[in-house]
Amino acid sequence: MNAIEVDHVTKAFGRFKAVDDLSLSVPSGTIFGLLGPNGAGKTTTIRMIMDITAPDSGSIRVLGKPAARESLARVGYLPEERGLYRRMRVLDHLLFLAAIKEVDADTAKKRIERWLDSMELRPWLHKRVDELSKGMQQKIQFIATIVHDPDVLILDEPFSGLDPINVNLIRNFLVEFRAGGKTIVFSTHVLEQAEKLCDHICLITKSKKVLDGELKDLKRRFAGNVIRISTDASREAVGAIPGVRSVASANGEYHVTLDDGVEPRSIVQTLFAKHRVDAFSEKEPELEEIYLKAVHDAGLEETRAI
Amino acid sequence: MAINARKVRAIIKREYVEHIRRKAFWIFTILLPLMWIGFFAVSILTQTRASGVRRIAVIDPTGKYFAPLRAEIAQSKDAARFDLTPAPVPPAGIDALRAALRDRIAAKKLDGYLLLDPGSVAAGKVAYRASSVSDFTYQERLERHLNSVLLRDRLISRGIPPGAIAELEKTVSIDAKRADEKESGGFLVSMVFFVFLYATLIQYGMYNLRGVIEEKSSRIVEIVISSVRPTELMLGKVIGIGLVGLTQYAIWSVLAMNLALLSGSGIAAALGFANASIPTVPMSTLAYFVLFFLLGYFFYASIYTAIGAPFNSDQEAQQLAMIPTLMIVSVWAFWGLIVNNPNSTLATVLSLVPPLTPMVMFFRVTLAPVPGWQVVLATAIMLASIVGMSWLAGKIYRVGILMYGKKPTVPEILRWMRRGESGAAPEPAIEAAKG
Repeated sequence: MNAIEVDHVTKAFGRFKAVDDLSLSVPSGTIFGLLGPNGAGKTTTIRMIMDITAPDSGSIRVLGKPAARESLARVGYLPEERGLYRRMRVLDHLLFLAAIKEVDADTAKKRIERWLDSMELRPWLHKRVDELSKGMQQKIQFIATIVHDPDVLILDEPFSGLDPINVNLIRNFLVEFRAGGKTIVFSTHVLEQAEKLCDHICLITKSKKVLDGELKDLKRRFAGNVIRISTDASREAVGAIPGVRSVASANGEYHVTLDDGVEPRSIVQTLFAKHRVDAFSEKEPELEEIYLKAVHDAGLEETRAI
Repeated sequence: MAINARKVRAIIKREYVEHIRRKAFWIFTILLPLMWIGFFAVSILTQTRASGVRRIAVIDPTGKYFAPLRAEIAQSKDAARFDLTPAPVPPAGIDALRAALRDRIAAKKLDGYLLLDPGSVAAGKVAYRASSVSDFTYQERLERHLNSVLLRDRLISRGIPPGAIAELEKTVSIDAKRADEKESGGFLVSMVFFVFLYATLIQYGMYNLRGVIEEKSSRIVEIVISSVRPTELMLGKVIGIGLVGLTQYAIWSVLAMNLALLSGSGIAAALGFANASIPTVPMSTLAYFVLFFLLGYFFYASIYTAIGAPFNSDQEAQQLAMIPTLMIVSVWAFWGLIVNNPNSTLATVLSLVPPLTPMVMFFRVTLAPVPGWQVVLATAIMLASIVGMSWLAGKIYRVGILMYGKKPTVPEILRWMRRGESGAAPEPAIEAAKG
């Protein structure tokens, strides 16, 4: 069952198409990464899922309902640009955000105290938000997102501006949420983060989807023709083997690119005849390589780096 | 579109509690009455100060006027205010006397002198030289007494018997009341409440504007909007701040009643102004005040809210915020007209024109009897205007609160009103569109 379904959605602002015929499905209980460079249309997509902006065409279903509005109580949202009422006290602030999600005060208070305990913020319960450090405010914002115990979390660039300790903290929480059967959608332009966390990804660039699917499948699909070999043979010797297109040294091993259609096993057998081979594996492509290849294949190369 | 009452209540509560908790609220709530008390105390004090004795020398070459003038003052309410002494003309002449008196005034042994030479009296203008010429009440009183003496003198010289003169001098005073004989606090009470209404409409309107901008500039608004509809947020905000206004009035009313009863009359009595009555505030004035404050508040609060929504800072919004503020201030242009004739055609029309209705109708209804249907009509017009204005404001608000980046122009804002959509992308998309 899918927690979120986006079906042929298009959104234009004036003449500029922010999202162009985008379809994606977020399976329940997974971490789903919405990836792409700044300006690709991630925020617009998320805002449409949150029903903050309406799509020009296409439809969106969240938890089976036609609009997120109708299941808002089960959705937690962390916008890219986030803030808090600076003058409010921490407890009052979180109670307010829980109240507008229709959580009763007693339940909310228990949850807030538990979260503040686990983030070591308990002493700040009655302090004003503007007395807190930036890192603490980020934790408060995260608690605000989950204070109503949502089934679906939608986070727009959740790691931007976070210090490494908080990045780690939030990442662990996300993994914990998934273990609790919850669905998480987050956008990022930093591919390493997505690679560590995501079960599913959707790559968008220039308002269009270029690729989506389960990360495991994508890695297999793009694994292609690079193998890693650890051997005592010289680089020239490896390069001389028929079927080898190029060889690169990396960390005391070779990354060997093969000609199309060449079986990795045949290369290794040739090598075995004359040299010692210590290790050999098919190299998994990095998400960045997948991204670049997919963008290249789709003919949507970015004019600038991501 | 269904409004979720529970969410709106949560927003009302937040707005209310956060405003009441602010020091500024209490400073203003306490300071304003203190300022009024100070204002009254100063005016009473200056009256007391002004009630000191004026020592005046009278140069009366004919010897006809001094004695009657002193007698006239002695039997009037001003007996304690003037101390008249005769200044006989020395052989050196009047000019030498005037020089001597001038020195005595400079030495503060005298407050002034009056020159009643026959020529000046006949010409209708007599010289009064004093250390201060700005205590008009004293000059006016002195003039009045002097004229009575002169009139009596002339009547006697025409042969009118003194008994008849007393008869001729009898005067009447006007007892002013509203035509419908209803209790009215008088002009002062109307005026005070009118100024309060005027000032708080601007103040609480601005609270709304600042509140909206604060939510935007702190970026909390998108989080809130993921839980409530913009309409619910706007509604809760306006009601919450309105309740803060009513609370402030309630505190002031309680303070005013106690202070006026205790210290007000106490001070006045202590200063010997037992007859300087503290004006009473009729219940009808209070009721009209609450009614027209609420009608005006909801009308102007929607305008201020709409104006705050598209902007990211107070500075950006300042220019447009002048519009509702000027609407409210413009009531002063008609102030004199309403005071002079609260039931003139123009005053009646103004009290039925939405931007001015709350203030003008309140002022009229406390100054003069206004036909009941006009009050009902004004209320109906305001209710309709509030519905219309909040509908328009809501359209701007819904688009505006999620707009960041460049300051929108007025034509752009007008377009939002028509289409209810901004036509602009969120920031990153704008960057991409440029790049």
